[in-house]
Amino acid sequence: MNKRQIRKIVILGGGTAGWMTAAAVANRLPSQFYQIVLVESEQIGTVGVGESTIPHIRQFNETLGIDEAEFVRETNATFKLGIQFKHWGKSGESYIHPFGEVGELTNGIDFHHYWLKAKSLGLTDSLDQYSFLAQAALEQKFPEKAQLKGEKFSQYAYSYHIDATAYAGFLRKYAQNKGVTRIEGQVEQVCNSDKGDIESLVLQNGQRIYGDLFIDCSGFRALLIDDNLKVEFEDWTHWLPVNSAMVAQTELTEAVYPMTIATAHKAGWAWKIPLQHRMGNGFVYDNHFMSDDEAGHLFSQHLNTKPINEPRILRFKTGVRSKLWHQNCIAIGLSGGFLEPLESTSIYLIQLGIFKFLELFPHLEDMSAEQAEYNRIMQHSYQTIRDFIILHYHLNQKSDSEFWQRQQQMSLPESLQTRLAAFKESGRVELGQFGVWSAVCIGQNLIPKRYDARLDWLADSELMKFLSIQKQQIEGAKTKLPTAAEYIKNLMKQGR
Amino acid sequence: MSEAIKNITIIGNQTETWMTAILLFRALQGRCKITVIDNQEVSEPATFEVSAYFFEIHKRFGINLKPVSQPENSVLFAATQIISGQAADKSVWLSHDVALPQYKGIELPHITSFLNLPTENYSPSIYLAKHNKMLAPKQFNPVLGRYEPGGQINGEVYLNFLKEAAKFVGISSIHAAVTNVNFDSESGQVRQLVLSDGQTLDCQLVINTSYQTRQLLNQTQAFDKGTQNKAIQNTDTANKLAFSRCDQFIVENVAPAKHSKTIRRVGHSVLSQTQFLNKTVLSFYSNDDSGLNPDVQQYLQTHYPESNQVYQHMQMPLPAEPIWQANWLDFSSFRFTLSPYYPASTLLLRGVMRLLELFPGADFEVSNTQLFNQQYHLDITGFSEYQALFNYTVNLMFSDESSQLSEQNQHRLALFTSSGKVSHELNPMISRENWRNLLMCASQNQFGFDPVLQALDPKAMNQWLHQLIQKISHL
Repeated sequence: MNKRQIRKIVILGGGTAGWMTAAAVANRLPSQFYQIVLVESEQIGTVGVGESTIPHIRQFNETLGIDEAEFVRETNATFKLGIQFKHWGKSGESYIHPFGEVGELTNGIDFHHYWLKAKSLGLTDSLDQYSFLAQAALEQKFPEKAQLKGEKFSQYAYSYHIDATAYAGFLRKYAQNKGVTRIEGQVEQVCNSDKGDIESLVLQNGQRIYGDLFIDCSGFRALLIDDNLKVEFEDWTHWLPVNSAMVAQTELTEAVYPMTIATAHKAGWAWKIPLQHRMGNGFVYDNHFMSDDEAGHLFSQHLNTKPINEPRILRFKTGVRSKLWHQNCIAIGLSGGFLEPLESTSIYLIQLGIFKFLELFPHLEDMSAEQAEYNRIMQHSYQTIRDFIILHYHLNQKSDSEFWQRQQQMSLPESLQTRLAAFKESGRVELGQFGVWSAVCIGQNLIPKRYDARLDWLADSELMKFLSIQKQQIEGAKTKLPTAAEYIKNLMKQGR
Repeated sequence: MSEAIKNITIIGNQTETWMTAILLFRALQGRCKITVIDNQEVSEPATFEVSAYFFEIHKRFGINLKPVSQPENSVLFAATQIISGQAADKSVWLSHDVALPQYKGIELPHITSFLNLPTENYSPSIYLAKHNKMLAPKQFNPVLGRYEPGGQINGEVYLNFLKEAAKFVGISSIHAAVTNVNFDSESGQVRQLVLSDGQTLDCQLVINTSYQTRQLLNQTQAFDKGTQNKAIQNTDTANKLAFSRCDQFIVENVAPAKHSKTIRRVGHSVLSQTQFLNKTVLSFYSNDDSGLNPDVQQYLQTHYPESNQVYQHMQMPLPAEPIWQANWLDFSSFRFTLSPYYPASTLLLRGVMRLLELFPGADFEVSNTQLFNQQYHLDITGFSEYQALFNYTVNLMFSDESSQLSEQNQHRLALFTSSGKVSHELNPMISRENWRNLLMCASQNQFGFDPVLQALDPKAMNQWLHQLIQKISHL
């Protein structure tokens, strides 16, 4: 009971990571005991992309008690059921990676095995056609929970496209209402104790800010974890080589669709993310294979309309810190690691970092056990997502681009090799993997050599009947759905 | 495209053999012909321990355990008492709570640790055990959380039940021993089993539960299986099994069933004791290969002179080789009496479930086998680690500090001691709650608490605990 306690937490950086951290920490730690300070400077811009999210963000908002309608209004959010990948396997092809398994486990056998057997019998339907969410997304519809109550598809996962800058602003209000102190200023100096812990930050105006624990949300600059504590960065660019992104906003010229679109081009890929009031766009590339000029030209073609703002270029390096928690400093967000936005995992990794930190919240005296646990879990999470993103690049069949051919031939991390071999040979996926492997692998034409042999016990006619019923059920449920735009309009109106 | 497997051969003649046969038959809906090579080699334990998972799996496959669950054939217990074994006995209780009451989102042990109160006084399952009561989990007041009782089952009754069921559904058995195994020279697959009655049996999928046959199967060491299982090395876990010998004794009596299990050191042996409706079962675990430990003999003479030995079994270490190779799986190490600390039936059941998840086609895809071995290796490691930490706890109670903890267990204990947190396990066989319950004992109830409690009002916490204990006392 007499252990020394953390009383003051200092968060450096006020982008999405900073304000998500401040809001969640303030929500969890009583303000009469804990002082939370966030230091940011209006002089320093935030990356502000990361507009596409995965369903876990709903858990974050729910934990904070945020009302969905208010959140959607304040962040100009739209709804998302998955990601459409265009030209990733072969040029001209596309597939959807939906949130949640395609079809359902039947008699202990994953649905894609049923599809594989049917395909061997001549079925021409894509796997997508058996995903309720993919089919809804393609028709720009969004499931209304109340209408599907008690029906087969009533439980589904979804997330949002958001204006990340607006989200940070929204959470800033939330955090300040919970007692977080915001200090405007830029860090001039970081002071350490004899033990090597961070003791205080000195701002350019001379103000000194002491703290017991520091959270580095300073983005790519990584002022604390890198500049001060010199924690090594594990470089993964040999697996994920894209290193540049051009971003711009355009007006919304088409109906809101409930999915992110990721279109492969000759040295990377481009995204389109619809918000309520505008479209977010980005063009990701490897500048060893494409100059900025060429990227700018191709980006203009991709936009197909005049951008609202001047396109800006971001440079990045994929990888992760060898320790995300070192001494009394935790790196959350880009300061800790970066994985390109292909699977919309940036905000998820921030959220995971925050929740794990709060779960393992330490005493001040000795936090080594909590640090070891945090670093083990976070490293594992980064690696699992990394492998899943590499999978998308590796499974391409393009023959007209040096960039893509290099991805086909690259040596894979051992963890991915094993999983990929299992899927290739027998369509098996290890539990606990990130994402829907069957959707991505089959979507990119990696058709397993075998389906589950137990399906030979199912007569061909029974199998076809089973698949036909699945499709009918999807068709039936789909007709009841409002469009994604109508759904948002109703939500705003009803304030649910 | 791989063809479906048409026949499964299971070697052995024990509870583990027949349970595997029945579960596979039900799960595969009778589509595979299952043959048991009944080689009559080992004795059966009088009783063995099961967890809630055992009941759940039987229920999932429509196996009604009613005949086995009668009070004379089984006993449920709510908690385990670990006794020091010293003259002035002291003990700690291992609870079976799987969800505990929370105060402002913080679990009970943090609150008691913060207030420096003994956690076991606030555990509903320990309360039940101490008062020799039993409630079905469904009858439990949800405000108090949730618990999963453990159980002991009469081995003979369960075995007969399985054999009857096997006969009824048409699982065939051959009364013979395996005398030789013919392998395919290229794939290392078992092609034929040569039996003591002269028969030769063609095989597809082979599951071995017999010690004798294990040696024959391991002839495949000669084949190059390097690429198949390169990621698996079970050698480290092989040494972690705490005991090589199990002896069971029965004391006939008419005492009522006791809804707790006790664990104590007797010399260098560990005694696990449960009490059925009409008998007490004493299971001694040791590493004495030469015979029954003199300490045990003396203990029996002093305390249970009327006891009868009903079972003696030498445990085999877990195989260094992967469990699944080519077209055969070796489950022969997983006897239900493997451990006094955790029901080994769970480990075998987990193996059978993993086999069903990754059920092969007739050409036995290598990567599929490898995936099984990787996943099952995690289960075996979890089991071994749990045993090792439990053994450490028992030894501590006996003032024996010679046990060395593995790096993982050191980390688990350090984290729990620091702030009462439980290390995250990915898809674990041993649940977070089971680890937490054991860590409370391993730390001798000297563990940390969530620092956030410093900000809350201790008076209100005390009030909450007071109300909680009142509710528990109504159980």
